[in-house]
Amino acid sequence: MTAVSRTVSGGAGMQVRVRLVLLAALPALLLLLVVFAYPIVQTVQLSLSEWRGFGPMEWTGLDNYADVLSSDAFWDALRNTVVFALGATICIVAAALLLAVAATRGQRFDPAFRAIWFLPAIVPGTAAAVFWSISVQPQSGVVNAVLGFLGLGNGHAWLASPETALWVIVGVAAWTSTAFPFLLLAGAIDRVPAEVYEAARIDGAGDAQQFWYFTIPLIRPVLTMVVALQLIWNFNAFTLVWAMTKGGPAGSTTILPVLLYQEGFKNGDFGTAAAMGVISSALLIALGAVTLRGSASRAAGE
Amino acid sequence: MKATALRVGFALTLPVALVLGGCAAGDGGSEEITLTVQTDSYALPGFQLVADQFEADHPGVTVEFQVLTPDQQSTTNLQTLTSADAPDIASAPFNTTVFTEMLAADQFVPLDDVWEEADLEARYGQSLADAIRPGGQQVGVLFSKVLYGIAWYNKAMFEEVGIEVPEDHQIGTMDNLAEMVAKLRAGGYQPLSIGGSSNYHLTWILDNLLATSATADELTNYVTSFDPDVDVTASYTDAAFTDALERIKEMYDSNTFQDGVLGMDQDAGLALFAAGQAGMMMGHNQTPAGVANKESDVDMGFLFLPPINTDVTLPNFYAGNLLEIPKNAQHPDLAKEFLVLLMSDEMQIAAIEATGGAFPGVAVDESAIATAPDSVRELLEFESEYGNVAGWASLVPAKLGTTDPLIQKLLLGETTAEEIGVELDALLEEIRTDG
Repeated sequence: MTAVSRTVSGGAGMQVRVRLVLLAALPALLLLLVVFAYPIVQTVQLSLSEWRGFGPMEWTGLDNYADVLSSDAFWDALRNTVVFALGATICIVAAALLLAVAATRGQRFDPAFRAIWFLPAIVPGTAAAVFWSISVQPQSGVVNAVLGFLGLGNGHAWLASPETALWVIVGVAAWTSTAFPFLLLAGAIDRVPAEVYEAARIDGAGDAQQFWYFTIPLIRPVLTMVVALQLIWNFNAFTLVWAMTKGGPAGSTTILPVLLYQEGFKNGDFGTAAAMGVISSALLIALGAVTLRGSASRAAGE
Repeated sequence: MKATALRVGFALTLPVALVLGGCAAGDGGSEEITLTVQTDSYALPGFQLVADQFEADHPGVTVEFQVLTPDQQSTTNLQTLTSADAPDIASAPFNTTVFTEMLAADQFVPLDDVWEEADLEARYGQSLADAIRPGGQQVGVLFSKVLYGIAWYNKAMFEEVGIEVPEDHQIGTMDNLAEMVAKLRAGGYQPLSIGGSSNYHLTWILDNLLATSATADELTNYVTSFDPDVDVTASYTDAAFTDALERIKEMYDSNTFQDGVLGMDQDAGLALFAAGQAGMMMGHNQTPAGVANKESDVDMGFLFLPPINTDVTLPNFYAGNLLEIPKNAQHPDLAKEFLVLLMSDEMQIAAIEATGGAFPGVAVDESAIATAPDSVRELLEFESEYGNVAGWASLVPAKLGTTDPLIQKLLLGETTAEEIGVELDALLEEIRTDG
C-alpha cells in the first residue's frame, strides 16, 4: 500500500515537473514558432502560389517547382553556386587553418598577428566589394598595376571574363571571411595540450606530421563546424556577387541567391523565387545532415 | 511596508502618466508632420528647393527624403510602397515592375485633381499626357524628361589626338567611329566608356540603335505589342531588331568600348570619363552633372552613334520619371499640394540650374534653359530642331526590356542575335498571355 501510494505521488510529481518545464520553455517555443516556423510555412505556401508582391496569393500547386526545375537559368545558377560555395569554403578554411597554426606557435607577436588578420572582418561586405572591383580593373586597378610592375601585364579584365569573374569573387570572399574561422581554429588549437606535441616530438614527429596526426584530429569538431558553416554561408552569399558583377558577365556569376532576387524583385514573380528558396534550403539541410552525420560517425569510430 | 506600497504605486502610476502626457501633447495644436518623399540622387537638388518652399508655406511640416538607387526604384520599392509605413510620395518609374504591379492592384491614389490644378494636360501636351496615363488613369506626374543615347566626348582630348568633330553631331558611319577609336587608343586613351555590367547600359545602346534600324511602324509595334490588344507585326527575330544587336557586337569586336567593359558598371564608366581616361561616354542629359559631381572639369560636347538604316541618329526620349501617391500614404492631401508646387513653372525652372541640367517635365519658357550648362543647353537646342525618338526599353515591361545579360552573352559569343530574338518573342508571348 505504501509502495502504491509512493508511485502515485511520484507520478503526480513528475507531471508537475513536466508542466513546469513546458511552462518555462513556452516563451522560447513561442519565439521559435514566430521566428522560424512561421516564415518557413509562409515560404513553402508562397512557393505553391502565384504572388506579385502584395495582395492575396493564388494557389498554383507545384507549377513553380516545375518551372524552376525545367529552367536552364536555375541549373546554371546552381552550378555556379556549388562552384562558388566549394571554392570559397576551401580557400577560407585553408587560409584560416594555416594562419591559425602560424598564430599559435607561442611567438611574441601572436596577439598582434591575430588582431591584424581579424581586420578584414570588420570591413562592410559592400565596401570590400567596391574596393576590390575597382582594384582589379584593367590599367587603373591596383592589382593590375602591381602585375604590370612585375612585367605580367596590366590589362587583365578579370571581372569582364566569364572564365575569371567568379574566381575573383571567391578570392574576395576569402579575403573578407577568413578572420572569423581563423579565430575559432586558433582557439581550438590553443586548447590542444602542449604535452601532446612534446610527446610527438620525443617520438620523432616533425611539424607536418604533428599537424596531420595530432592537430587536425584534435580540432576536428571545430573544423567540421567551421566547414559546415562556411558552406552554408557561401551557398547563401549575395552581397559580394551583387556588388561586384550583378551576376554577369553573361550570367557567369549568377548564383542562386542572385537569381532568386532577380526573379522575385526584378520580375515580380515571388512564387517562383520562393520555390527556388525552398529547393535551395532543402539542399543545404541535406548538406548539413551529411556533414554532421559524417562528423558524428567519425567521432564514434575514434 | 508602507514605503514599499508607495514605491509600487509610484512605479505603476508613472508610465500611465507618461502615456497620458504624451497623448495630451499630441492632441495639442503644435503637431509636427513629416512628409516623406522618394527621389533619386540626380533629382534631389531640385526637390530640395521645393521642400524648402513647401516647409516655409506649411509651418509644422518637415519634408524628409528617401533617396533611392535605380535598382531600388525597380525592385524592393514595391514592398516599401505597399507597407503600412509607405512614403507620402512614391518614385516608381513608368517602365518598372513596381509601377505596373501597383497600378494593376489599384494601389495608387488618383491624381486627377493634381493634374487639373497644375494644368498638366495642357502643359505636357496631348501625346505625352496620353503616354503617361495608362488606360486614362492619372496616377502619376512626370516631373522631368530625360534624353539618353548620347555619346558625350571630351573636347580637349579630341583636339589633342586630332579628331575632327562633325558639326551636325553625327558620327555618321562605322568607319568614322573606327577612326575616332583608333586615334583615341593611339593617344593612350580608352575610347567609348559604358557601364557594361550595370544591367541597363547595353540596353540603352540597343534602344538608340533600334530606332535607326527599325521603321517607324516597326518601332511603334515593338513598344506597344506587349499589350494583348495590339497585334504583333514586328518580331524580335526580324532584321530590324537583330541588326541593332549585331551592331553592338560589331562595336565590341572592334574594341570601341573601354577595356574590361563587361566588368565595369555605369559609375566606373563615368569615373573613367570624368578622370580624363576615356574620350567618350554613353549617357544622358544629366551626365554632365554626374561628371561635375566627381569634381571633374572635363569640357564636354555630344555626338550620336552611326545610324543603321536612317540618315541620322536621334536622342532617345524617356518619359518614365513618375511620382505617385501610394494608397498607404499618411498625408495624401499634403502630398498632392507638394506635387502641385513641384510642377509649378517656378520650381520646374529652378530645378534646371539646381540639378545641373534636368529637363522640366512640362513645357516652360525656352529662355529658362539658359541656366543649364552649355553642353546640356546645346543638346536641348539640337533636340528642339531635330526631335527625339522613343526608347524601346523605357516603354516595355522590365521583364522584356532588361536585355543586358543577353547582350553580354552575344558579345562573348555565347549566343546569337537570332537566338536572342527567339527568346524575346517567347517572353513577349508570355507577357501577352499572363500579363
